[in-house]
Amino acid sequence: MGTRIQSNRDNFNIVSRPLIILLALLPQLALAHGVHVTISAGEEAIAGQATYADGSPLVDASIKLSRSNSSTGDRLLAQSRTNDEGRFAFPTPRDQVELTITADDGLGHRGTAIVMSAEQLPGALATPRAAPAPAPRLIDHSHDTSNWARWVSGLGYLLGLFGAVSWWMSRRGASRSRD
Amino acid sequence: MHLAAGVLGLPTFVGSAILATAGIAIGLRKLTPRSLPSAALFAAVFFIVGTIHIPIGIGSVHLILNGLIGLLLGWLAFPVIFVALVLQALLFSFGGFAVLGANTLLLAAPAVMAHFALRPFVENSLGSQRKLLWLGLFAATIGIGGAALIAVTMLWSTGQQALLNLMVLFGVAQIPVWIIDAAVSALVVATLGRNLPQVFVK
Repeated sequence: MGTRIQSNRDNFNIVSRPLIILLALLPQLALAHGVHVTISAGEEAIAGQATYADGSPLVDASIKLSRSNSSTGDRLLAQSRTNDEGRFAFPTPRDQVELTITADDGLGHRGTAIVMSAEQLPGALATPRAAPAPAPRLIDHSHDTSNWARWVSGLGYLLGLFGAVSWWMSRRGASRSRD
Repeated sequence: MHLAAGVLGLPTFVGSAILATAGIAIGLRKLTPRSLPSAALFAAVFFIVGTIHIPIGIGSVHLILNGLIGLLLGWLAFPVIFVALVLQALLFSFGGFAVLGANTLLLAAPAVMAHFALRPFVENSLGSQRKLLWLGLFAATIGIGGAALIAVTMLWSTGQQALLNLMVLFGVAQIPVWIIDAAVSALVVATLGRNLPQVFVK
Protein backbone atom coordinates (compact mmCIF):
# COMPACT_ATOMS: atom_id res chain seq x y z
CA MET A 1 0.00 0.00 0.00
CA GLY A 2 2.80 2.31 0.91
CA THR A 3 4.54 1.78 -2.40
CA ARG A 4 1.28 2.45 -4.20
CA ILE A 5 0.95 5.90 -2.69
CA GLN A 6 4.59 6.56 -3.38
CA SER A 7 4.16 5.76 -7.06
CA ASN A 8 1.16 8.06 -7.26
CA ARG A 9 3.26 10.86 -5.88
CA ASP A 10 5.94 10.19 -8.44
CA ASN A 11 3.30 10.33 -11.15
CA PHE A 12 2.12 13.63 -9.84
CA ASN A 13 5.58 15.10 -10.13
CA ILE A 14 6.11 13.72 -13.60
CA VAL A 15 2.81 15.10 -14.88
CA SER A 16 2.52 18.30 -12.93
CA ARG A 17 5.95 19.74 -13.59
CA PRO A 18 5.68 19.96 -17.38
CA LEU A 19 2.08 21.12 -16.95
CA ILE A 20 3.12 24.00 -14.74
CA ILE A 21 5.84 24.93 -17.20
CA LEU A 22 3.28 24.86 -20.03
CA LEU A 23 0.90 27.07 -18.06
CA ALA A 24 3.69 29.51 -17.38
CA LEU A 25 4.31 29.80 -21.12
CA LEU A 26 0.69 30.58 -21.97
CA PRO A 27 0.62 34.36 -21.48
CA GLN A 28 3.71 34.74 -23.60
CA LEU A 29 2.23 32.78 -26.45
CA ALA A 30 -1.01 34.69 -26.23
CA LEU A 31 0.88 37.88 -26.94
CA ALA A 32 2.75 36.42 -29.88
CA HIS A 33 0.67 38.46 -32.31
CA GLY A 34 0.89 41.79 -30.57
CA VAL A 35 2.92 44.53 -32.21
CA HIS A 36 4.86 47.05 -30.19
CA VAL A 37 5.71 50.40 -31.70
CA THR A 38 8.31 52.32 -29.76
CA ILE A 39 8.90 55.94 -30.70
CA SER A 40 11.44 58.59 -29.91
CA ALA A 41 10.26 61.95 -31.12
CA GLY A 42 12.62 64.91 -31.49
CA GLU A 43 12.31 68.36 -32.97
CA GLU A 44 13.81 67.23 -36.27
CA ALA A 45 12.69 63.65 -36.63
CA ILE A 46 10.47 60.96 -35.28
CA ALA A 47 12.20 57.61 -35.22
CA GLY A 48 10.93 54.31 -34.02
CA GLN A 49 10.93 50.57 -34.17
CA ALA A 50 8.12 48.09 -34.67
CA THR A 51 8.51 44.65 -33.12
CA TYR A 52 6.32 41.65 -32.49
CA ALA A 53 5.68 40.73 -28.89
CA ASP A 54 8.50 38.19 -29.02
CA GLY A 55 10.95 40.96 -29.92
CA SER A 56 11.45 40.08 -33.58
CA PRO A 57 11.20 43.07 -35.93
CA LEU A 58 8.45 43.75 -38.44
CA VAL A 59 10.47 43.68 -41.65
CA ASP A 60 9.24 45.73 -44.61
CA ALA A 61 6.01 46.57 -42.82
CA SER A 62 3.93 49.56 -43.82
CA ILE A 63 4.30 52.57 -41.52
CA LYS A 64 1.77 55.37 -41.67
CA LEU A 65 2.10 58.74 -40.00
CA SER A 66 -1.24 60.46 -39.56
CA ARG A 67 -2.57 63.52 -37.85
CA SER A 68 -5.11 62.40 -35.28
CA ASN A 69 -8.45 64.09 -35.57
CA SER A 70 -11.47 62.69 -33.84
CA SER A 71 -14.03 64.68 -35.84
CA THR A 72 -12.78 64.29 -39.41
CA GLY A 73 -10.80 61.09 -38.99
CA ASP A 74 -7.07 60.67 -39.23
CA ARG A 75 -5.32 62.39 -42.12
CA LEU A 76 -2.38 60.57 -43.67
CA LEU A 77 0.75 62.73 -43.65
CA ALA A 78 3.49 60.35 -44.69
CA GLN A 79 4.08 56.71 -45.46
CA SER A 80 7.15 54.55 -45.18
CA ARG A 81 8.33 51.00 -44.67
CA THR A 82 10.41 49.45 -41.95
CA ASN A 83 13.94 48.20 -42.60
CA ASP A 84 15.37 44.79 -41.69
CA GLU A 85 15.48 45.76 -38.03
CA GLY A 86 11.92 47.05 -38.01
CA ARG A 87 13.14 50.65 -37.77
CA PHE A 88 11.66 53.68 -39.48
CA ALA A 89 11.95 57.46 -39.34
CA PHE A 90 10.01 60.53 -40.46
CA PRO A 91 10.88 64.20 -40.38
CA THR A 92 8.87 65.78 -37.58
CA PRO A 93 5.90 67.58 -39.13
CA ARG A 94 5.42 71.21 -38.15
CA ASP A 95 2.37 72.41 -36.26
CA GLN A 96 0.97 69.03 -35.43
CA VAL A 97 -0.76 68.50 -32.15
CA GLU A 98 -1.24 64.79 -32.06
CA LEU A 99 0.22 62.21 -34.42
CA THR A 100 -0.61 58.57 -34.88
CA ILE A 101 1.93 56.08 -36.13
CA THR A 102 0.58 52.76 -37.35
CA ALA A 103 2.69 49.75 -38.22
CA ASP A 104 1.05 47.02 -40.30
CA ASP A 105 2.80 43.95 -41.69
CA GLY A 106 -0.08 43.22 -44.07
CA LEU A 107 -0.81 39.90 -42.38
CA GLY A 108 -3.22 41.20 -39.79
CA HIS A 109 -0.64 42.30 -37.24
CA ARG A 110 -0.89 45.93 -36.38
CA GLY A 111 0.40 48.25 -33.73
CA THR A 112 -0.17 51.91 -33.02
CA ALA A 113 1.66 54.61 -31.14
CA ILE A 114 0.44 58.12 -30.40
CA VAL A 115 2.86 61.03 -30.37
CA MET A 116 1.71 64.18 -28.62
CA SER A 117 3.34 67.55 -29.00
CA ALA A 118 4.95 69.53 -26.20
CA GLU A 119 1.86 71.67 -25.66
CA GLN A 120 -0.23 68.66 -24.87
CA LEU A 121 2.19 66.56 -22.98
CA PRO A 122 5.34 67.76 -21.27
CA GLY A 123 8.53 66.36 -22.73
CA ALA A 124 7.21 65.53 -26.18
CA LEU A 125 7.34 61.85 -25.52
CA ALA A 126 5.57 58.97 -27.03
CA THR A 127 2.69 57.13 -25.44
CA PRO A 128 2.52 53.71 -26.99
CA ARG A 129 -1.04 52.58 -26.85
CA ALA A 130 -2.35 49.08 -27.32
CA ALA A 131 -4.08 48.88 -30.67
CA PRO A 132 -7.46 47.18 -30.94
CA ALA A 133 -7.01 43.65 -32.16
CA PRO A 134 -7.46 43.39 -35.93
CA ALA A 135 -10.42 41.36 -37.10
CA PRO A 136 -9.00 37.86 -36.73
CA ARG A 137 -11.35 36.45 -39.36
CA LEU A 138 -9.43 38.32 -42.00
CA ILE A 139 -6.08 36.90 -41.04
CA ASP A 140 -4.95 34.35 -43.57
CA HIS A 141 -2.07 32.32 -42.27
CA SER A 142 -2.05 29.89 -45.17
CA HIS A 143 1.23 31.27 -46.50
CA ASP A 144 2.84 31.43 -43.12
CA THR A 145 5.81 29.12 -43.00
CA SER A 146 5.63 28.73 -39.25
CA ASN A 147 2.24 26.96 -39.45
CA TRP A 148 3.97 23.64 -38.95
CA ALA A 149 5.41 24.78 -35.67
CA ARG A 150 1.99 25.95 -34.55
CA TRP A 151 0.30 22.71 -35.54
CA VAL A 152 2.91 20.66 -33.76
CA SER A 153 2.68 22.75 -30.62
CA GLY A 154 -1.13 22.62 -30.71
CA LEU A 155 -1.06 18.85 -31.00
CA GLY A 156 1.49 18.78 -28.23
CA TYR A 157 -0.80 20.71 -25.93
CA LEU A 158 -3.67 18.35 -26.78
CA LEU A 159 -1.51 15.33 -26.12
CA GLY A 160 -0.46 16.80 -22.80
CA LEU A 161 -4.05 17.57 -21.88
CA PHE A 162 -5.08 14.07 -22.88
CA GLY A 163 -2.32 12.64 -20.74
CA ALA A 164 -3.21 14.81 -17.77
CA VAL A 165 -6.92 13.98 -17.94
CA SER A 166 -6.38 10.26 -18.43
CA TRP A 167 -3.90 10.23 -15.56
CA TRP A 168 -6.46 12.02 -13.37
CA MET A 169 -9.17 9.60 -14.43
CA SER A 170 -7.06 6.54 -13.81
CA ARG A 171 -6.14 7.93 -10.38
CA ARG A 172 -9.79 8.51 -9.56
CA GLY A 173 -10.66 5.05 -10.88
CA ALA A 174 -7.87 3.52 -8.80
CA SER A 175 -8.98 5.26 -5.61
CA ARG A 176 -12.57 4.18 -6.25
CA SER A 177 -11.64 0.57 -6.76
CA ARG A 178 -9.63 0.67 -3.53
CA ASP A 179 -12.62 1.96 -1.50
CA MET B 1 -16.58 30.12 -38.80
CA HIS B 2 -15.42 32.45 -36.06
CA LEU B 3 -16.99 35.56 -34.74
CA ALA B 4 -14.44 38.30 -34.27
CA ALA B 5 -13.97 40.12 -31.01
CA GLY B 6 -15.99 43.28 -30.64
CA VAL B 7 -18.96 42.49 -32.88
CA LEU B 8 -21.23 41.20 -30.12
CA GLY B 9 -23.20 43.22 -27.61
CA LEU B 10 -22.69 42.65 -23.91
CA PRO B 11 -25.91 40.66 -23.22
CA THR B 12 -25.22 38.29 -26.11
CA PHE B 13 -21.61 38.02 -25.07
CA VAL B 14 -22.42 37.16 -21.45
CA GLY B 15 -25.36 34.92 -22.34
CA SER B 16 -23.38 32.84 -24.80
CA ALA B 17 -20.50 32.53 -22.33
CA ILE B 18 -22.87 31.19 -19.68
CA LEU B 19 -24.50 28.73 -22.09
CA ALA B 20 -21.12 27.57 -23.34
CA THR B 21 -19.92 27.02 -19.77
CA ALA B 22 -23.03 24.95 -19.04
CA GLY B 23 -22.43 22.90 -22.19
CA ILE B 24 -18.80 22.32 -21.27
CA ALA B 25 -19.83 21.25 -17.76
CA ILE B 26 -22.36 18.74 -19.12
CA GLY B 27 -19.77 17.48 -21.58
CA LEU B 28 -17.13 17.01 -18.90
CA ARG B 29 -19.55 14.98 -16.78
CA LYS B 30 -19.95 12.63 -19.75
CA LEU B 31 -16.22 12.20 -20.12
CA THR B 32 -15.24 8.62 -19.33
CA PRO B 33 -11.93 6.78 -19.70
CA ARG B 34 -13.49 5.09 -22.73
CA SER B 35 -14.59 8.25 -24.50
CA LEU B 36 -11.49 10.27 -23.64
CA PRO B 37 -9.22 9.04 -26.48
CA SER B 38 -11.79 9.80 -29.18
CA ALA B 39 -12.48 13.19 -27.58
CA ALA B 40 -8.76 14.02 -27.67
CA LEU B 41 -8.49 12.75 -31.24
CA PHE B 42 -11.36 14.90 -32.46
CA ALA B 43 -10.05 17.92 -30.59
CA ALA B 44 -6.86 17.46 -32.60
CA VAL B 45 -8.82 17.03 -35.83
CA PHE B 46 -10.92 20.12 -35.16
CA PHE B 47 -7.84 22.15 -34.23
CA ILE B 48 -5.98 21.20 -37.40
CA VAL B 49 -8.76 21.41 -40.00
CA GLY B 50 -9.82 24.82 -38.72
CA THR B 51 -6.41 26.22 -39.55
CA ILE B 52 -6.03 24.78 -43.05
CA HIS B 53 -7.49 27.29 -45.44
CA ILE B 54 -8.50 26.24 -48.90
CA PRO B 55 -8.63 29.24 -51.21
CA ILE B 56 -11.95 29.53 -53.06
CA GLY B 57 -12.68 32.54 -55.21
CA ILE B 58 -12.05 35.74 -53.30
CA GLY B 59 -11.86 34.20 -49.88
CA SER B 60 -10.79 30.98 -48.29
CA VAL B 61 -12.68 28.30 -46.42
CA HIS B 62 -11.75 25.62 -43.99
CA LEU B 63 -13.41 22.48 -42.72
CA ILE B 64 -15.34 22.71 -39.47
CA LEU B 65 -16.68 19.18 -39.01
CA ASN B 66 -18.68 20.16 -35.94
CA GLY B 67 -21.65 18.08 -37.09
CA LEU B 68 -19.45 15.01 -37.43
CA ILE B 69 -17.90 15.61 -34.01
CA GLY B 70 -21.35 16.01 -32.51
CA LEU B 71 -22.64 12.84 -34.14
CA LEU B 72 -19.75 10.85 -32.70
CA LEU B 73 -19.25 12.55 -29.33
CA GLY B 74 -22.57 14.14 -28.31
CA TRP B 75 -22.21 16.54 -25.37
CA LEU B 76 -18.47 15.98 -25.40
CA ALA B 77 -18.42 18.26 -28.44
CA PHE B 78 -18.56 21.23 -26.06
CA PRO B 79 -15.29 20.63 -24.18
CA VAL B 80 -13.62 19.26 -27.32
CA ILE B 81 -14.47 22.29 -29.44
CA PHE B 82 -13.67 24.66 -26.58
CA VAL B 83 -10.18 23.23 -26.11
CA ALA B 84 -9.50 23.30 -29.86
CA LEU B 85 -10.71 26.92 -30.09
CA VAL B 86 -8.47 27.91 -27.18
CA LEU B 87 -5.51 26.48 -29.07
CA GLN B 88 -6.54 28.17 -32.30
CA ALA B 89 -6.87 31.49 -30.52
CA LEU B 90 -3.56 30.95 -28.77
CA LEU B 91 -1.46 29.80 -31.70
CA PHE B 92 -3.23 31.26 -34.73
CA SER B 93 -5.06 34.22 -33.17
CA PHE B 94 -8.34 33.01 -34.66
CA GLY B 95 -11.45 34.34 -33.00
CA GLY B 96 -9.79 35.61 -29.88
CA PHE B 97 -10.19 34.86 -26.21
CA ALA B 98 -12.96 37.38 -25.61
CA VAL B 99 -15.36 35.55 -27.92
CA LEU B 100 -14.42 32.01 -26.94
CA GLY B 101 -17.78 31.50 -25.23
CA ALA B 102 -19.75 32.67 -28.23
CA ASN B 103 -17.68 30.67 -30.69
CA THR B 104 -17.86 27.52 -28.56
CA LEU B 105 -21.63 27.80 -28.32
CA LEU B 106 -21.92 28.62 -32.01
CA LEU B 107 -20.10 25.46 -33.08
CA ALA B 108 -20.88 23.00 -30.29
CA ALA B 109 -24.62 23.57 -29.87
CA PRO B 110 -25.40 22.43 -33.46
CA ALA B 111 -23.02 19.52 -32.90
CA VAL B 112 -25.12 18.34 -29.96
CA MET B 113 -28.25 18.89 -32.04
CA ALA B 114 -26.82 16.71 -34.79
CA HIS B 115 -26.13 14.04 -32.21
CA PHE B 116 -29.66 13.89 -30.87
CA ALA B 117 -31.28 14.24 -34.29
CA LEU B 118 -29.23 11.56 -36.06
CA ARG B 119 -27.94 9.16 -33.45
CA PRO B 120 -31.14 7.04 -33.36
CA PHE B 121 -30.70 6.28 -37.06
CA VAL B 122 -27.04 5.33 -36.95
CA GLU B 123 -27.30 1.76 -35.74
CA ASN B 124 -29.92 0.88 -38.35
CA SER B 125 -27.75 2.40 -41.04
CA LEU B 126 -24.54 0.54 -40.26
CA GLY B 127 -25.11 -2.02 -42.99
CA SER B 128 -25.71 0.49 -45.76
CA GLN B 129 -22.99 2.71 -47.18
CA ARG B 130 -25.58 4.93 -48.81
CA LYS B 131 -27.41 5.53 -45.55
CA LEU B 132 -24.15 6.32 -43.78
CA LEU B 133 -23.18 8.83 -46.46
CA TRP B 134 -26.54 10.54 -46.00
CA LEU B 135 -26.07 10.59 -42.23
CA GLY B 136 -22.70 12.33 -42.61
CA LEU B 137 -24.21 14.83 -45.01
CA PHE B 138 -27.08 15.56 -42.62
CA ALA B 139 -24.67 15.91 -39.70
CA ALA B 140 -22.64 18.51 -41.60
CA THR B 141 -25.83 20.28 -42.67
CA ILE B 142 -27.08 20.55 -39.09
CA GLY B 143 -23.59 21.55 -37.93
CA ILE B 144 -22.96 24.30 -40.47
CA GLY B 145 -26.57 25.42 -40.85
CA GLY B 146 -27.07 25.56 -37.09
CA ALA B 147 -23.82 27.44 -36.56
CA ALA B 148 -24.74 29.97 -39.25
CA LEU B 149 -28.19 30.42 -37.70
CA ILE B 150 -26.76 30.95 -34.22
CA ALA B 151 -24.13 33.35 -35.56
CA VAL B 152 -26.76 35.38 -37.39
CA THR B 153 -28.97 35.36 -34.27
CA MET B 154 -26.07 36.57 -32.16
CA LEU B 155 -25.30 39.35 -34.62
CA TRP B 156 -28.97 40.22 -34.90
CA SER B 157 -29.37 40.39 -31.13
CA THR B 158 -26.71 43.10 -30.99
CA GLY B 159 -29.15 45.06 -33.12
CA GLN B 160 -26.72 47.02 -35.19
CA GLN B 161 -27.98 48.06 -38.56
CA ALA B 162 -24.54 47.91 -40.12
CA LEU B 163 -24.32 44.23 -39.29
CA LEU B 164 -27.32 43.31 -41.44
CA ASN B 165 -25.14 43.30 -44.55
CA LEU B 166 -22.64 41.19 -42.70
CA MET B 167 -25.32 38.59 -42.01
CA VAL B 168 -26.18 38.03 -45.66
CA LEU B 169 -22.50 37.86 -46.51
CA PHE B 170 -21.98 35.49 -43.62
CA GLY B 171 -24.72 33.16 -44.81
CA VAL B 172 -23.54 33.12 -48.42
CA ALA B 173 -19.96 32.56 -47.32
CA GLN B 174 -20.96 29.36 -45.54
CA ILE B 175 -22.18 27.61 -48.69
CA PRO B 176 -18.74 26.41 -49.87
CA VAL B 177 -17.92 25.48 -46.26
CA TRP B 178 -21.07 23.40 -46.13
CA ILE B 179 -20.24 21.63 -49.39
CA ILE B 180 -16.75 20.50 -48.38
CA ASP B 181 -17.85 19.75 -44.82
CA ALA B 182 -20.73 17.61 -46.04
CA ALA B 183 -18.49 15.70 -48.44
CA VAL B 184 -15.83 15.00 -45.82
CA SER B 185 -18.32 14.17 -43.06
CA ALA B 186 -20.19 11.77 -45.33
CA LEU B 187 -17.00 9.97 -46.29
CA VAL B 188 -15.79 9.78 -42.68
CA VAL B 189 -19.11 8.42 -41.40
CA ALA B 190 -19.28 5.88 -44.22
CA THR B 191 -15.69 4.75 -43.65
CA LEU B 192 -16.09 4.51 -39.88
CA GLY B 193 -19.38 2.69 -40.27
CA ARG B 194 -17.75 0.09 -42.49
CA ASN B 195 -14.39 -0.35 -40.81
CA LEU B 196 -14.94 0.68 -37.20
CA PRO B 197 -18.67 0.33 -36.46
CA GLN B 198 -18.03 0.06 -32.72
CA VAL B 199 -17.53 3.85 -32.51
CA PHE B 200 -21.24 4.20 -33.20
CA VAL B 201 -22.38 1.62 -30.68
CA LYS B 202 -22.77 2.82 -27.13
